[in-house]
Amino acid sequence: MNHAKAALKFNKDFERTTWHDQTLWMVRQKRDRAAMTIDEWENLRNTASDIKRNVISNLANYLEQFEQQALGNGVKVHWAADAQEHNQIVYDIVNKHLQNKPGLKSIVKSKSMLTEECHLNPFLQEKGIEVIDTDLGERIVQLAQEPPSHIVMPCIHWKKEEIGELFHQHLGTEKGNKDPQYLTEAARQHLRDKFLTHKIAITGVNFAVAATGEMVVCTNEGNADMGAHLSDLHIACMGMEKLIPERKHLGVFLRLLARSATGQPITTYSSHFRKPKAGQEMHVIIVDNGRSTQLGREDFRGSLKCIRCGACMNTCPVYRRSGGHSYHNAVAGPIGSILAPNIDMAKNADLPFASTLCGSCSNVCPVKIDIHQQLYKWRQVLVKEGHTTLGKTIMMQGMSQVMAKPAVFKFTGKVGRMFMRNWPGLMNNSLNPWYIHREMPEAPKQSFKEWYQDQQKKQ
Amino acid sequence: MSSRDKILQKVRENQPAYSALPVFDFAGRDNDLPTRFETVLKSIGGETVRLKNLEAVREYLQLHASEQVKVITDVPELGFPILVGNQSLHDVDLFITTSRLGVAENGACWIENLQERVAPFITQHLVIILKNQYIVSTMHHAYEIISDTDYDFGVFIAGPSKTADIEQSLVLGAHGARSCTVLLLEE
Repeated sequence: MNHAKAALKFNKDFERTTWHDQTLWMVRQKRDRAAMTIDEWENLRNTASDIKRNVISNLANYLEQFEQQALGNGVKVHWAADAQEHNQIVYDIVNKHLQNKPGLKSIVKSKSMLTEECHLNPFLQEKGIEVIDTDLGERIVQLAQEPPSHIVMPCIHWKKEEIGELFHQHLGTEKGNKDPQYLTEAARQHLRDKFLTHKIAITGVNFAVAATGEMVVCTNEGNADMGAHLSDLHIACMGMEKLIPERKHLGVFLRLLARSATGQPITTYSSHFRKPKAGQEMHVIIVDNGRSTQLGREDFRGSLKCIRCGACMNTCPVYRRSGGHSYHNAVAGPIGSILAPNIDMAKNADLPFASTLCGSCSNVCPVKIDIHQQLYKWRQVLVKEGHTTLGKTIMMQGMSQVMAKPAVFKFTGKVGRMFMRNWPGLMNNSLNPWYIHREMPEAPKQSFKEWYQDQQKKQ
Repeated sequence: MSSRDKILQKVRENQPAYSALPVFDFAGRDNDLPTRFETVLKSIGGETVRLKNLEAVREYLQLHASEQVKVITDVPELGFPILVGNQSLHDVDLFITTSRLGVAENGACWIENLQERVAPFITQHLVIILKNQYIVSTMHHAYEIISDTDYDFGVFIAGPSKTADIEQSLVLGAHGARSCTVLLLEE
């Protein structure tokens, strides 16, 4: 289902749409308040953008440096060209480990949008390996058998009554109890048991430092650490654009990330994994999956600066009022809409059009990606490649015929104004998509050109 | 050609012209760092107690922590059981550790050299001992201090574990510690 249809479905519940909208806007406001406490905020954004621009321009060297450092630290390094290869590598590592150290065929996983992008969970499930998502929001959508709708707040589209009912069914909590404290406590106990019994953990990577081979994972819940530090096998999955050159650059990004995402000065935990602990195996999988292609696109390579904060989603009026699931992509919203067409133009041709081009996303992006400009440029690419609907093609061709010929333009305008004045019912009905939420303007008696020429005659 | 080589080749072909790293030097606000640290930490759900020195800490903890069922620490002077590696910590109520670096802008403490990495996460309650003189203004200053440290694992911990995943209602104590108290020492 394309975005427009999915959004229409979402909008059928006007109250719920408004609740979703207001909730996300509130998070945007928290971000604003946090940003305002830092005098040098704009300078920080510029610095972060420049650091990432450097990374993009020197990515091959940083990748090799990171690999060398990680190997020296005792971390095993793997490279995956695409999602399928990533999933296979994870499976092979886990399988080999279980052969040497038999145990539960079950993995605890902390939030990794990269693994969502690769559809890791169903792949492993099919091979008889269970994956338990341990981030509370992710666990909720996992129990509900849904994908996350937001990269930072996975179940932002769920109401507490609904979570209460879900937990009643799956965790045995009291029926009708929707108290967040109570429900979180139930999840804490349920997942604590998983942490204590599971020896294999998968985490994402927020930032990978080329100079030292270390990987930083940021959480508020502590689930990445509970999983990793209790495991015999820790697999970190990373998009290759997550690299930064040196430790000191973490200062810039850690000051920006949480403030942009949720308005917090920093996440509770910023864990720096450098070497495996004694008796533990640590692996990192460096994933391409279309990133090297995006790297070659002059207009769109800036999207690789993204640090996955979600600020663009929180501010986007279209995302707020259509929900993450309408974007049929692991990463939704404005950033998702400039990343996804690179992977599959046909499937994601609708996404850059799911925007009013208001530019609010570019305004809040901590690494200054020109998101709204890329959305516009993607539209050009998609239309040239033939990925528009037939209706739009016909309409655009019709419009260009009218606008290219002054006589036709003049005639069409005159006829159109006459119809609108005398037979408004022809336009003011449900066949006119413009009319669904708007009234048609009052048709003037004259076109501007006619009025202007009259004024000239009067003088 | 391995995936590694294929990826690196494609990256080399596609990456744009070199763009230099920026030079940056963000100064922090240096006035009364302990008070700023305290204010921020409290605003994110943490707690602070001002004490004179380690001896005062020992007295304070022996007074307050005795009701706790299971206490563990990596600070030998405190008179509590010592954390050793390969210990089962699933029922630890209170873990007490020290930090050599606090960050005023976000209430974070840098924790490293843990005998058992899971200790500050698996404990129900966390206490961190931090001298006032170790508090810096921003993350930039913090990274200056740890820039050459050869750590295997380190973590900035800012307050208790938390989540707002259920309708944006903030709940303290998600999977990590339910509470985080920083003991700020004059000396």
